[in-house]
Amino acid sequence: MGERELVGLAGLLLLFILIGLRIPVALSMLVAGILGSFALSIAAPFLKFGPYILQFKSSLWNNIANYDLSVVPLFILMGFLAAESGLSRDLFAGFSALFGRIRGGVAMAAVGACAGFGAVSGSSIATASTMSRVSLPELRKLKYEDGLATGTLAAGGTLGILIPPSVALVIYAIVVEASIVEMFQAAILPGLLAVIGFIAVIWFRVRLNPGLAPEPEVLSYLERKQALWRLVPVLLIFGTIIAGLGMGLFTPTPAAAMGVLVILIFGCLSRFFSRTYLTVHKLKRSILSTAKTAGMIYFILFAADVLKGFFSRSGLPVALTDLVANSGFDPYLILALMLLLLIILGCFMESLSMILVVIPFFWPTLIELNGGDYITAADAVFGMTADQLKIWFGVLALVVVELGLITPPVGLNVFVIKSFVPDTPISKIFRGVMPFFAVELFRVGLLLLFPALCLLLPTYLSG
Amino acid sequence: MFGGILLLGIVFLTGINVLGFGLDRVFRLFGSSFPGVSGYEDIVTVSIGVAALSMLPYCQLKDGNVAVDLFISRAPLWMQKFIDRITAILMILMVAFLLRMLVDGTLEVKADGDLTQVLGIPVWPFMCISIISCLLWLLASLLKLFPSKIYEQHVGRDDG
Repeated sequence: MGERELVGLAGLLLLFILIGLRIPVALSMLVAGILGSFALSIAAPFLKFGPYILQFKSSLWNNIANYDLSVVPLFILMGFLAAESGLSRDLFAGFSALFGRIRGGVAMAAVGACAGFGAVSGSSIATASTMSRVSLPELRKLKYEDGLATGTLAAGGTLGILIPPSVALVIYAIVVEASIVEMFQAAILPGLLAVIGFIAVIWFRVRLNPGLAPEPEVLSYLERKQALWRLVPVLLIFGTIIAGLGMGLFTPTPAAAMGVLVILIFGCLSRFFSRTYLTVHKLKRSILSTAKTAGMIYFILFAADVLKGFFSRSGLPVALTDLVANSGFDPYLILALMLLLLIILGCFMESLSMILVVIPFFWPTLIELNGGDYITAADAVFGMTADQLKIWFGVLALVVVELGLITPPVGLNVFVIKSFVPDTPISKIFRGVMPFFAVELFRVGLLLLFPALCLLLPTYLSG
Repeated sequence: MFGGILLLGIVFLTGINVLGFGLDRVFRLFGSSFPGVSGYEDIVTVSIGVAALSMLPYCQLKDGNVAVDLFISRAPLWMQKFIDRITAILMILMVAFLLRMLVDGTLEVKADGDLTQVLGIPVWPFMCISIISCLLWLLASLLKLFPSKIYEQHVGRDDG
């Protein structure tokens, strides 16, 4: 490594120190990027600091006034509106009617509702907290064992990050310059696999120990029909977005805007058939929550771009790629190590900032390991082209980021659930999560062994 | 709120555009056409620029910027306060720098006469609105430097 790369490495170290000092991630990125570039101009005088600084005249506006990114605040608004419109309650009621006859059915319904709400919300933490608010009191009232109830919701919450449309998928697609639509298509089967896996865990646990869940309550035909109708709005929203994108009717931004419009209409019409509907006050609250979350994401995106500029100038990603590529380790071992690092970081780091900080380092290394940008699937180490690798790795990365959210001892989702049940020890929630954790590991293994699970839909749908 | 209202504007504009797109398909069956919203991408791009920048001050006021708390919450109170003070100062410096650069950039864009791609609208007036947002962002950052009591009295209450 030369002096430039060492400055890059020092910048990376500074970044982690600042983040460790509880300085906001975006600010840490910005400070590390600018100070690092200044240090670079001393270590390598041809990388002048003056012209670099002048780029900021246009970079803030150009980064933010970006059509591709306009999808982000719209999806966030859609999630908050969904929460305020009583969609989460409808989902839970609908899925409860669907699974109601099975022992443990209400917990399975919570998983289904998490998947449905996760699709609309796109955020794991938001899914975990919203669905806990809705379904945890019901699960406890029905005398579901605490570990099973809380574990189900902590695990179910993780579905938000992967099931499309998801903000994390959009950000990943932007970072690696992949197609957002293809990423959405790729995440559908792995997302469904998680839902099936979680439901299977509940089924097996309850079958092995019937004391974990009460006898199912049988609903009348009319009650069931009414509850099932409540699933229609989510299916409509999900269908509008996914079918619209898949059939080429929309690009992501209009799809997100149409999703918001459908929820707005549903929320307003709900006043005629439901006690929970969208009021002006709730609309205002959704807008303010969107401003807070979208502001955070835009700041991180801008800061990540500054940081990326510094790392590129330092040549650190290229040096690390060379180092790893020439290390002689098996490419699958390196991939596994990358995923392991993502799980560890995912335990305590916010998922979007992690994608923005880590993926720009991992991605060039993977491409190099695979045989370069223009390699054919037959000659590539991973048996796929660079574009397919983008999709496969993206899904794998997001799945392990999900896993980080329930990894002991610091999984963020577990702490979200804990805040709703202060009387339940955290160790009990982690014990409840462990079977789901095992299923998630199994899913990672399946996705590693069968990349077709990710690649099938994008290949088929894009012809 | 301003940013959110702009977002809703984009939502309704999209609704009109999609409706226009649908009607166009129907009209084409009869050998006619129905125009969608011309320059949709231009309008969304500049609106999102203005909307997103106007969200940054609110995010700052509400401590919306994510931070990772691994050790600091267990550190002595004086150290936590010291780090918060350093964070506030760093934020002020960075936002002031970005504001200054945005002002310079806006002047340059105005002098160059930069226009949007399809509609040909000048970009600089939208950047001017963003300068106001950036100024508010700076004010929000400055508020964080004040003692917490003053901050709580003025902005600490939850809008919800």
